[in-house]
Parts: sequence; C-alpha cells; structure tokens
Amino acid sequence: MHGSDSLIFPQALRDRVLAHALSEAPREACGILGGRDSVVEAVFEIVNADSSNITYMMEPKEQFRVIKQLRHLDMEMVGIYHSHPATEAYPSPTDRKLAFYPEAFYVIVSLEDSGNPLMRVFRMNEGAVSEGVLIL
Amino acid sequence: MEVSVTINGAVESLGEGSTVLDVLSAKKARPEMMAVEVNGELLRKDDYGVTALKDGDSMEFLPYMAGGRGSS
Repeated sequence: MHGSDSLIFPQALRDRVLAHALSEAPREACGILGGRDSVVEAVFEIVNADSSNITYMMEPKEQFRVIKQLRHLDMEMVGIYHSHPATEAYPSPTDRKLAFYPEAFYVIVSLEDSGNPLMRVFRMNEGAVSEGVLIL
Repeated sequence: MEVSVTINGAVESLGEGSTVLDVLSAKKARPEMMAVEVNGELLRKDDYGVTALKDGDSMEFLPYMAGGRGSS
C-alpha cells in the first residue's frame, strides 16, 4: 500500500462533501480532494457524467481543470470522493475494478441512513481494499 | 529532430512525429483507461494513435475517475 493510513480531513471541508452528497441524492456525487501530505485543504465538486444512482464517472474535462488547478496551487490530489446514496460506505466491486489511483485516498459517503450520513476512507490497489482512518 | 511538448505540466523532448499513443505507451499508461487532452481539447480514443504532437503542444493525461455502487 502507498503512504499513510490516516487522512486528516477538517470538519468544515468534510461538511462540504456531505452537503454535496445530500444535494445530489438519489444520484451519486463525486469530487476530488486537494491538499498536501494526507491533509485535505480543498474540495472540488465534479459533475457525475453518468448522472446515475448507481455509478459515477467524473466529467473528464472537469478532472483536467481540477488537476491543473491543483498543480497551480502546489497541491496534490490526496483523495477522490463519491457517495453511495442507498448502500453502505464500502467499496463495491465496481469501485475496486475502477480504482486507478493507489496513491489516493478513496472517501465514500453512505446516505443509506439519510438522517445519519456515514463517511469512511479507504486505499484501493489492484482490487485490494484497506480501510484508513479519518482524522478531524 | 525533436519536438518540445509539455506533458502533465513538465516539458519533455519527443521524437518528431510521436503520437499521443506513443507517449502513453512510453509511460506505461493503458490507453483504454486514460482521458487525454491536447492543447485543452479532449481527444477521442480513436485519435490517440493518429494525433502527432507538435513542438509547443501541451498534453495532459490521467486515468478516468469512476466507480459507484454498481448494481441496482
């Protein structure tokens, strides 16, 4: 596995991701987390090109825009987030199959219990999943 | 003869006539997983092998970011 197991994710930024997930439900929401050294410093919402309740694909043009912006800000992509509006916060087979960024944290928000959204963080590499620790 | 191309933000020298597909292959990036932009324009996968990079071009590539719960 790559890097640290802990992602430092300040509450205000975490709340932005939760709000995005809630605003997109029942469709899946997705976005990129920018920062340095496993610390989230910025949240970039990305359009889900699939506009689907069960899959996401980040709009490629927006992906490029954000990656260039991160470069300009001297940040790295520390994480990728998406929501599971009706299922648990755990990587699905689809998530594992399409996880091409072993160096990044994958943050998943579950809205299965809509009154109590749950966020978990993982590393994924060639189908293997390991859960990380979210630190406020 | 070489051309100077900015690839993911870094300037690199390539042989004249190098295509997008040549660059992806050299970097061991699987084309079917990659989104590619040349000079700010998204490229169709069918064009990766026929798009030659010119001096001063800018190429960006990255793996798609996708996933999801995946079944209904």
